Amino acid sequence: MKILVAEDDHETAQFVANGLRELGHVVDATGDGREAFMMAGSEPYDVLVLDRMLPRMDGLAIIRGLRSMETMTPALFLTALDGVSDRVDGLEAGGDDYLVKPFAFSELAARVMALGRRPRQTANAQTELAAGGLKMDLLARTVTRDGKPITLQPQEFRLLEFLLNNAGQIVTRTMLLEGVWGFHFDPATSIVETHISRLRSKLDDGFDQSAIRTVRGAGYIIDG
Amino acid sequence: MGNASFWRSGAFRTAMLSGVLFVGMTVVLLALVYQVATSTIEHQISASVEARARTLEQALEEDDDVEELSHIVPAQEELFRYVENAEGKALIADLVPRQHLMGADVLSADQVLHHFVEGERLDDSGIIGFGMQSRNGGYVYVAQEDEQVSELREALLQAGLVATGLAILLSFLLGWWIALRTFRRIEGLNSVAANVMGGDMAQRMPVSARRDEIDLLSAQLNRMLAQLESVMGAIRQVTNDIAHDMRTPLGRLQRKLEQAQVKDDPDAVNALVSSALDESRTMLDMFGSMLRIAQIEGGGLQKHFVRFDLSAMLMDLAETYRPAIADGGRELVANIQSGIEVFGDRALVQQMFSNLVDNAAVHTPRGTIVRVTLERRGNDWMAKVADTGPGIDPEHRPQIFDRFYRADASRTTRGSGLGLALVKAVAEAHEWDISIANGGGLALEIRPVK
Repeated sequence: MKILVAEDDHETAQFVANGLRELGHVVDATGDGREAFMMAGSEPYDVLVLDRMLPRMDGLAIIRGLRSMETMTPALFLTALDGVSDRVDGLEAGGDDYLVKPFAFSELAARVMALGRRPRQTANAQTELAAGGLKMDLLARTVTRDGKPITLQPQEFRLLEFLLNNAGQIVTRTMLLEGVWGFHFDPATSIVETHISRLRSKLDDGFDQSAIRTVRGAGYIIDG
Repeated sequence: MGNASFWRSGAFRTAMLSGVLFVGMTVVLLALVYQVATSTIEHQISASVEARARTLEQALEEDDDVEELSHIVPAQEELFRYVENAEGKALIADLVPRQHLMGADVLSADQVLHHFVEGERLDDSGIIGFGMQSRNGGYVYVAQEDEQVSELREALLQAGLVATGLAILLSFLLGWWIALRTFRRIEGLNSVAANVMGGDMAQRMPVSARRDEIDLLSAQLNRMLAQLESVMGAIRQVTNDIAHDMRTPLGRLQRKLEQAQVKDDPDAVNALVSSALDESRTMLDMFGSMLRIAQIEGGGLQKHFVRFDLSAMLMDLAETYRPAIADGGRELVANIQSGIEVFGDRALVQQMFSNLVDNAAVHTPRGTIVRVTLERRGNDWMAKVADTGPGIDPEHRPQIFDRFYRADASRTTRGSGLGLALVKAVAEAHEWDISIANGGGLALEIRPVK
């Protein structure tokens, strides 16, 4: 993927850019807001990684500007602000995801991948999701694995739907907390692990291979 | 009061200004009285001499007999008559004009010397006179000394000087006293303010029983000081807490990194590094929670408030937590009436109830039952998260909402000690009341403030 990283803290910018290059992406980096806006407006990037506070033009203004020019490149905000309203402001301006500093690189990488693969606003929402032998009918709310029907609780269904939507990509614990349960904090109780384990035992019953793979130190993945 | 600032004080200046105004008005008033009084008397005298002059003129027309004329207007002290017949012969001459003056005159002593031939009866006072030509060609002039007027003038001037002097003295004394009183009270406020700036937050502004504007101001300032004192106390407390509570994990982090530095076995190094990472994550979480609490307490959240279904949120939350709580050997029982809506910040309310459930699920022994209840109470609602654990000693109950308070003093269980502080901050931001209900374990009730 071609990724633009706009971050004025040199060390963070290097850390992010080098990490993404190691994963095989093409990365342009800049520390200046206006330059980032010009680059994002003229070159076809797959994902933008924008710091909220940039010299000359801040992240929110860049996104507003791009969206008004119909440039819909998915954007991830990086920020040191974890205010209740900061996240809302970022998403309202047209950002697609939000990551609070300091963050683990694996978290950033997983989110960038998820954004890059996101289907571009398909008008007709999908009614069926499928990956690795799993099939999910979103209208009938049924799930099968290799044709065998599996009964799921509503929250287990939501969890599997999120994983299937991101099939082939690592999904982190934080992404699940935000995407499935709407938690923007880390609860003391291990709710993600428990739900994954319950979902797994239902999906894997009678199968040799686990449908959901754990990627140590990173998250979970359903291979596509 | 050898204090230069007193003479520059607004109170003194105002007092002096009003003193000057007062004296000025006294002077103007006296001048008016003087003017009116003297002119009234002058008019009276003028009218009386004119009447006499006309009487003499009529008598002169009929007959120029001196006896007769002198009888009609007899000689009097302070009264001067001059009568001349048609031939120009002076019949009566108490004083002698150098030329014929016509009509009413008010003449000063100097003017008298100028207009009249000197005579023994003329002393150095002015006169008020009236002169006229008689129809048969004679001339009559009657005048009266203005001694009455000058006496009145003198009396009025004297009285005026005394009154003005008194007014000056009084207004200065009064102004000085008022200014001094105000200045002293302001000085009082100043010295308290200086002490407060010096660090003595317990000082308060003096408030008298007069309940005037300075007292109202003082009372207001005292309320502000009380607020400041409690805020500063809270800040000091939080700073101490942070210093204390961050040292422990920082120390552990340092120890682990030091150990990792000298270990050769890569597995042992890895284990130490990931444990160090956990420590740093915990600290970041604590900072995050601190910031969030500070932000919630800072206010201004209302603009994000929406109406949402609290019943649905809590039902979903119960399903979210049920498996994990069951795996931990406890049980979650939800008793939630449907259709209860509230106005608030969704994400914060969700975190508030999650913290309460987390708290009940982490700090209790296995076998504990965690109950989440939401029910209608009249027009309002009441939410409760209760557990059947050991609960909190009554003596520690007021502290459970304090930042970093942890019932487990050894701090071996996971947690930052900020969960309930955040719960309280969120509740207060929504104007909800949170209280500890009586019962076996810990039971926290949330309801809108009446």
